[in-house]
Amino acid sequence: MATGARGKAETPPAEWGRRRAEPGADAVWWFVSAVSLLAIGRIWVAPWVTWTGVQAWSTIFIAICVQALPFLVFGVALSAAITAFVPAEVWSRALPRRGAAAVPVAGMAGAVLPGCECASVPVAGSLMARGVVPAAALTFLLAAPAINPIVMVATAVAFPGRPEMVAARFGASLTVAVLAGWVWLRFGKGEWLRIPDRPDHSGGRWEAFRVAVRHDFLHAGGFLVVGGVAAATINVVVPAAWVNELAGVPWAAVLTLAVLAVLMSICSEADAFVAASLTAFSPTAKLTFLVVGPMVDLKLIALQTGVFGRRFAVRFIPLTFVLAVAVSAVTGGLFL
Amino acid sequence: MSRAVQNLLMVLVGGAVLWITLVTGEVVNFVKEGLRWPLVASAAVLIGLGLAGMRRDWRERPGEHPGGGHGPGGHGHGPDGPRTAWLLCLPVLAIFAVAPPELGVFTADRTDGASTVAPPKIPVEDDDYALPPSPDPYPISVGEFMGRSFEAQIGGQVTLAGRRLVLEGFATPGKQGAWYLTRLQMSCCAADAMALKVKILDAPAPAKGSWVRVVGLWRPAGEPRGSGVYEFTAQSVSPIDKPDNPYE
Repeated sequence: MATGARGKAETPPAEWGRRRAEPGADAVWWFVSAVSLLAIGRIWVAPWVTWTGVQAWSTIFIAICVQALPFLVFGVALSAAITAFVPAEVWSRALPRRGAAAVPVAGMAGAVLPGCECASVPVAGSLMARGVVPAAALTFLLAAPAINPIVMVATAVAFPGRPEMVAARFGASLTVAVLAGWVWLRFGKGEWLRIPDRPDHSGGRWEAFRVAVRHDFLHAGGFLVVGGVAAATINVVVPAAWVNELAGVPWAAVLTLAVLAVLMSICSEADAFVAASLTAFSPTAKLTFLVVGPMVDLKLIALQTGVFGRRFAVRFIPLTFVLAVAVSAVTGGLFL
Repeated sequence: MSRAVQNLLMVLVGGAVLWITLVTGEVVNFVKEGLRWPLVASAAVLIGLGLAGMRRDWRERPGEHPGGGHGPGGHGHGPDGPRTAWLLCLPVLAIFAVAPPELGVFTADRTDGASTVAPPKIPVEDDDYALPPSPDPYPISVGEFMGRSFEAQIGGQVTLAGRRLVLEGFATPGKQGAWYLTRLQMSCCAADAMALKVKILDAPAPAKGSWVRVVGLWRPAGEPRGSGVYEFTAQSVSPIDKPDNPYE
């Protein structure tokens, strides 16, 4: 659709100007074309798609997206509600003044407050802007998307009858977040970190909520689709023997899923379902996927670089990645 | 991506979810039945917020209120919204243009190599493993059949001997004319489906992938041979319609 519009080079700017004046007409136009496209697909295309591999791929792909959707929507809505309705001062008042004590408290705060990855980066930025010790804000940034209640419920649903998976995810993620905070407190230098300005909330709170949900849902949803495509492809296209062979070597399995977690960039509310679908891999490898994903991935790298600056990102991201892989491997080895 | 398209996308995703949950019921091809109502609720949230956004855009001239609403910049996309969001068109298109059926023979063949996993646990309500005396023949899920069969093979309680049972599943071919009654089991959603296979003896193989009901008797493995021996002597094989929920 986008290329079609771009392809018409002769379409004058006046055309765009006219549409901007009538956003409603624009929406109606999009809506009608989208619905007719889908109806055409249903009536003329669907009966012809019979190749079993394509069908199996689509079934698995849709299954992951559909399974993750309720968790994504309610996670995004809750985190948007907190961003829109709870002022950041509440958190800065709740945290201890001393950095070493504030770090674990900030980690535990992540266990209570649902925060999307995309939301947690600007939230951590605004915490710092309001005078919270940077290390504690960073611990919150890592912990909030990794161990919040919605993520824990999603993990329990994805691994039925395996409560140890939920416990291991919680323990390992909290450990990584607190360790990273302490390391930053001890060795981090103030000049590496660019503390952002306070974001302004223009418009009403309800409006801020609606816009935040829309933004976070579309953003996270896009990455969920990437994860769904990758998982469905591993399930259907990559020969099962290859996957089994790779999954059979413990360190290779752990590293593979750690790297996959970074590349797929799935939202933490949805990643447990992708992990569960990688049936050939060991529980430790899946745990690594679940611990690394919410803390280090492509979209977080982009976000952290944007909000806190390059000099921060090149130090903090490798630190988090190494800690996450090491702690997951140890936790998995001991408990799974 | 303009705000109009963002709102539209939310309505479309919500609409696709309502379509598979409320209109066609295809949702059981993908996830467990219990997720149906949470899905309807989240679809309603998406459609509601999308429509609210459309209504607002309709009333206001653009440019009068800030578009982004998210924190300080450097977000990898402009104020017009994330570009990755276009990808959300993919599942919507897949739902309507491919309309994939439940997983079947293809997945059963693929997960064949991975069948070394421990068989599913028996769903036990109390300490008594014995099958209830009625009805006869007794309908049993493939998973429970395999669990009880495994229990007997490793020297545990023998609960299936001499009892007429009914198994339902689809046929998958094996080597040298042998065939299996197969059912896919999902622990969470279709993405983690695992094939459960029972070898059917004394009956000609039905068409690959066709759904059948087999009445017959459990065939004990001769000596304790570990896991992986699940055999069933057929007395009758009859074709059935695909059950409402194709998974176990």
